[in-house]
Amino acid sequence: MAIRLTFRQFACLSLSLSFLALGVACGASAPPTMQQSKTQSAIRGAEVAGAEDTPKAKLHLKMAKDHLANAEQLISEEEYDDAALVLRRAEADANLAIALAKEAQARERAEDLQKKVQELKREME
Amino acid sequence: MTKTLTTIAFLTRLGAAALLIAGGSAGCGSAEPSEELTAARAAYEEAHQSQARELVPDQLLEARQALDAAEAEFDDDENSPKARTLAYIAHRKSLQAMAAGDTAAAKKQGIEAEREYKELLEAVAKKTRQKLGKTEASLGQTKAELDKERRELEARQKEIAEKQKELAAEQEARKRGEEELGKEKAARAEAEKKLAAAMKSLEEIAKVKEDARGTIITLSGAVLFKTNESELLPIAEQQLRKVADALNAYDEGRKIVVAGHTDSRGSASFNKRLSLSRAESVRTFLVNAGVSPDRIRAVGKGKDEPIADNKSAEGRANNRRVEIIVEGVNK
Repeated sequence: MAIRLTFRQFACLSLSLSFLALGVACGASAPPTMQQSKTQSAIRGAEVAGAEDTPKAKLHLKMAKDHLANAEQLISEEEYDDAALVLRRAEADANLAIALAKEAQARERAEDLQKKVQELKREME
Repeated sequence: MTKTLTTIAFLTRLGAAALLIAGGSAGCGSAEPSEELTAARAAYEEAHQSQARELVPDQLLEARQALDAAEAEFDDDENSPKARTLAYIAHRKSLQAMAAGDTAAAKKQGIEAEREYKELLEAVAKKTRQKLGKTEASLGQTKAELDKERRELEARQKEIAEKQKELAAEQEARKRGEEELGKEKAARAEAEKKLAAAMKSLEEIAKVKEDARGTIITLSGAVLFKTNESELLPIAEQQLRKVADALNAYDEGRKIVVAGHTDSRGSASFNKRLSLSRAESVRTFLVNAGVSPDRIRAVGKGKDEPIADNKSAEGRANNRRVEIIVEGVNK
């Protein structure tokens, strides 16, 4: 095809084609149901782990929940690829919240025990 | 966020379009790394330096792989939403690895503290047990000592009570003894007084003397009898009553002998009979006057035991007599 196109015509066509291609790609992908349930269970896990009780864990739990809300919005708009990415962010934050909650608990327990040891040592003197 | 991502997506598409327009190949890597990737790199660096490397190498490796994936995506597609999301995830994974490392360290410390706490508790328990054992032992010893002491005290109390009882009995006996002694003494004094009085009144009418045989009361024959008679004169009875009083005042245990004596005139046998008969008369009177018949006997001495010269009338008068001999205690 030896049709000569002006730069503007070329640009327009290219844009249209690429938009079309992306649009087709978007339309063709399915909602990220699996990622969504993985994320939801990670958030529940963080809640169960007591993330609400630790400031740092609580912050990341909140981020996870915010991401989840955004993702749900994107899903409703059928922006499934974007939703999947946001869900992955949410999952990462939820997992981090779990790790932070566990850390705080382990630290607290260790400090408690160390305090007990000190108290007992004082008593023994 | 949604807006940002949508914008990013839009810009990325725009970029891709521009690249297509430029006709160049994609992934030249000339773009600045996103905020997410910068943060992810720094976080991984920090995690790598932390105790996570030693304590949770698996998690650090996961973080490393996440960062690698983000880097690859960045190389491939620069700051595409996916690249930025992977960087975001890598950042979180590094933080998570650090948290896990800190958790593991805290757990180790907790276990260590728990172990130390248990050891201390055991030491305390052991110490307490030892102390308790010692206390119990000394308590047992003290108890045994106290028991022994109590038994000794009880025995001593009993002993004292017995001694007190004995003492009371002794005191009682002594008191009684003293009372009896007092009574006896009073009785004796009374008897002595009576005797003294009796003797005094006796001495007015008779001669009283002491010799080896005992107390001898000598009554003149003339006062008691008519010549050669053995019947008591009325006046004699008065005198003999005094004698009887004196004899009754004497100790009951002492024997009494009534001995009749004559002068040397007349035959010996006559004198013997007469003296005995007279002694009998006196004895009978005395017995009637209250002297116990068992302790008194009569003997006739005749003229055998004169106390004066029979040649003179006075001497003969003295020899005519009745002697009442109260024998000594030792007889």
